[in-house]
Amino acid sequence: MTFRTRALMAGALGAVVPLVVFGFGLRQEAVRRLEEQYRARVDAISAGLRADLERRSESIKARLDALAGDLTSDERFRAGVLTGSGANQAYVLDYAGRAMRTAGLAMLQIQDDAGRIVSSGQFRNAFGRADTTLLRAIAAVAPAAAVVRAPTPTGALLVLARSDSTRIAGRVFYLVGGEALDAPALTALAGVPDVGVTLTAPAETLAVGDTAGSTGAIVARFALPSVAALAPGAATDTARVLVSHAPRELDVLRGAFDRWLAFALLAAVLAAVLLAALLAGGLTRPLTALAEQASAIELERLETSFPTERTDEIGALARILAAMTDRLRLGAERLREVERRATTGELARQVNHDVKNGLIPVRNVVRHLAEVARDDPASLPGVFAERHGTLERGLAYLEQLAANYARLTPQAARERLDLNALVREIATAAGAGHDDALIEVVEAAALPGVVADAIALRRVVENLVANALESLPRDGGRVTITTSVVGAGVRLTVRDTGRGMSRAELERAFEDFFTTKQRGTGLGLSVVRRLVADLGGTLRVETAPGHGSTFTVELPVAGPAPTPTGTGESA
Amino acid sequence: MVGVRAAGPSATHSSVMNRPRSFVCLAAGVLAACGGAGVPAPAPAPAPADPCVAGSSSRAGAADTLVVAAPGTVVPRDVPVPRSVAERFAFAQVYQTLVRVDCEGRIAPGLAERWQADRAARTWTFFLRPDATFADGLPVSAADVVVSWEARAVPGPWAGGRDAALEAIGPHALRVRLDEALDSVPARFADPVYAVVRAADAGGWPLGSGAFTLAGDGDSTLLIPVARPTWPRLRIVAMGDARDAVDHGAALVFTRDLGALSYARSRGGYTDLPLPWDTVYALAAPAGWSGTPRDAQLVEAVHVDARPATAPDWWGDLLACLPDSGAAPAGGAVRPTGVISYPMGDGVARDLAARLVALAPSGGTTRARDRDTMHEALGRGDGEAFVLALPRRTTDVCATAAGGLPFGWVLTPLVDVREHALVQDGAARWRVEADGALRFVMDADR
Repeated sequence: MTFRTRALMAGALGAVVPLVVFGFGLRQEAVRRLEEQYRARVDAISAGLRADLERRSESIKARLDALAGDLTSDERFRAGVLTGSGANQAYVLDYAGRAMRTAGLAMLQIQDDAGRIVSSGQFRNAFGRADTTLLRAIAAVAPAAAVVRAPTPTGALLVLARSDSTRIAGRVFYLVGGEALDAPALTALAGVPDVGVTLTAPAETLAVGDTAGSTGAIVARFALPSVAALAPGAATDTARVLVSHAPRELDVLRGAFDRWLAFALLAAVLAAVLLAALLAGGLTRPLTALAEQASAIELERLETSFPTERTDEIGALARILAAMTDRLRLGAERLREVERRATTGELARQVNHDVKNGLIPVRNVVRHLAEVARDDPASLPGVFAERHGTLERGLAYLEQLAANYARLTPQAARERLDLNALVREIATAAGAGHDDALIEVVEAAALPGVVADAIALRRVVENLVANALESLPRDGGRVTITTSVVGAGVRLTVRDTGRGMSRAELERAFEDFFTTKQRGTGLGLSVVRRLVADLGGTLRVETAPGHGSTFTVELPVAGPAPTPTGTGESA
Repeated sequence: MVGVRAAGPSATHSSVMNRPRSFVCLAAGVLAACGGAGVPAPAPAPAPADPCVAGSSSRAGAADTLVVAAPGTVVPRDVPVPRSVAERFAFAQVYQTLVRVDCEGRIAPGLAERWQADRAARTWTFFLRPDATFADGLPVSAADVVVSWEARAVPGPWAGGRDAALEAIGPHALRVRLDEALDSVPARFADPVYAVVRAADAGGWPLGSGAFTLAGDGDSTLLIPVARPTWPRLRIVAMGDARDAVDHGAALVFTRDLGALSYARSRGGYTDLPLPWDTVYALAAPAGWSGTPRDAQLVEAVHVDARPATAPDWWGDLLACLPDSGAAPAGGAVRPTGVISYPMGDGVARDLAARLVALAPSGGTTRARDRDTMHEALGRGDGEAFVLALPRRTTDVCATAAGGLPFGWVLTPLVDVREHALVQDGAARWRVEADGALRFVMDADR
């Protein structure tokens, strides 16, 4: 995760978390206070509604008392209930209806002492029907009013009812009357349109006002006695009044809070991201510039500078990098000087070594010819003819060597070479000067040609064979040169039965100028190492003191990958 | 399939149901005479010498207009069959039938001055009054009678095709062949459906041959005397509270309101004339209806002059009208819903429905329905019961009482009701017909 990302996240979190905590805290507090206000309002409405119902109950009672008094003195009613026929009976049947309307009631029925309905206002033609259940139930809850579900011709009617009684001609008559508890009445009782009132009586529920949002509403409840009038077996039950205040304002407030909080959060996040981006950019831009400058530093290109006028940590870092670069530049100059000197000396030694290598077969041929001329002059022409090729190749080698050095920057040639032929040639040439040594060549059949520089490959083989012969003891030994196919390449193994190398000698065997021979240059193996590397091959050594050494070179058949700058070196 | 069953031991309570056929047909009830049965009606005034003539000699002259207060409206499309009390009064003054039947059941000449029958008493010949004219002065011919009846496709008692059974055999002679022999002239020709009507050339009210012609409509209809220069005009007004009509001095007030009758009696100046029992209220209910208790006190349940129902004379004829068993509902027996519907605006039906609901063991509710929804609901026959008002006199029993009654339903008569006429003392003289219509008469017309 980048520094910029970390900065952005930290900035966003730093802005959002406090804002969220603050917003939700404020929201909860506002909601709590509003809920308290709602609760107080609902409780007040509920208490007012109960008080109103009680007042209505008392009002009903007062009207029933008055009606009972009038009934006692009504002669036609008296005659009607006593005779039970004629015009007075019609008067009795219609009496409750008239009295009910006059008294402003929604229900009034007059029942005799047997419970028989003598006159009914809300259901005129229910006369003659007996209903003692209603009387008993209302008497049971007296003096409280009861919610009665009174039937009418067109359906049931909820009534807040009370009862009274009077005595006529020695008979007791009961008056059951009340006010309607219908939607308008409940609405009037509630008094506030945004408050819902639900009256749940047995078998009927009546709701007015705003009861739609009852979920989560703040409610208050109280109970009223209830009677299902004229219902067979009816008994006192309970009607429940539920005052509910739908929390619409709370919902609106919550919604507004949530919207504003979301908006604030979004704005905070955007601001934090923008701010963090600016800050992170201020920090990372100079660091990135320093990193790009530092990444451009190479040993050959130390002109990079770190100018700064900053006094902060980034300025200090730039100055440290500048000082470090200055030290590197100084060290590189020293190194180049040492390298230049070392290269000059090595070149001289290389030339010496290569010339000597080129002269060895010439010298051997010349000595051989001298010996023949001295010992068998007659065969000299034949021997000369036989060794003439060696002389020519040696001289050609020297000429080529001279041409290469003349160019100073030798370009490796790429041609397909027969390693077996080269090995036979070098082994033959080497054997001429080492009569005590046995040189054995084991050639691989169908060895593919190797694409390589001919001189480089010859130098590799010659150096390895020369080293092997030189490592043999004076009384002779064996040098075995083996070629073989390895995958997509060829393998050259030069094994000797010489004295071998210790571990310490082996570790330094490829260093320049390291030699165990009294007259050696110490460049042979180091040159071999470089040439093998130039040819794209590998070189490994297996050796042990007293058990000889085995040098194994593996070269790709296709040759080294071409390089634009000529021969490179690799360890 | 048709059957009639007794609703109880009393013959005055009978039910008609169209299934099963095994029910025994009851005899039709006797048409109630003027004054009806003994019911708690207001005490009538002392009867005049002719029981079918009410009131006294008119003090009104040609310049006067007598006000008649009657419920309902008078509209041309109903001519000549009345659908309201107001139309019954108005059409009785304007449109004449061949014969009249008074409240005592006596046949009297109407448009026909005389009639005679063949020996088989099946072919009757009516001789129209030669001086009979329509309101526009054109004479009434026998051909006019034929045209009037045929134009309205009046159902007749004649046999075979109408062309052969009904024939004008002279300018004023009309021959009618009946489908059964009758010893006396059929009282059926006194029914308003057989009134003679001719369309007016200039449109408007159809013309009749009665003593008056019609003008105006709606809440105020004027009856103008035709060729009777000394007769007063009659104005029919729609009535709200009959007490108001009494207080305004209406010459004639039709009402069923017992309170208004009592008021008129106590106020004085009016004679209460109970008219014939003209309507029977019946309960049409599915076969599973729990029935009406015998002690239902239905008469007390209504606010009009009522009596326990007696079967009208067409009751037994219902058997031939009710739907056949092929119309049985696919869903089997209909379960009563407990809802009793009644015609909207009919207070008697409303009170009866409420009484039946009050006495139903499982309760129920009432529902007012207008004519269209009533007919539709009755046709559905889905368990709703209906209180129907049926005329006690009709020439088409099937259309009147059995039309639309679902298969398997029971028709139970509840109460009979009748109108009362409050006749202002000294205002006019009125003749009471058998169908309850009152006809204005001058002393010379008695």
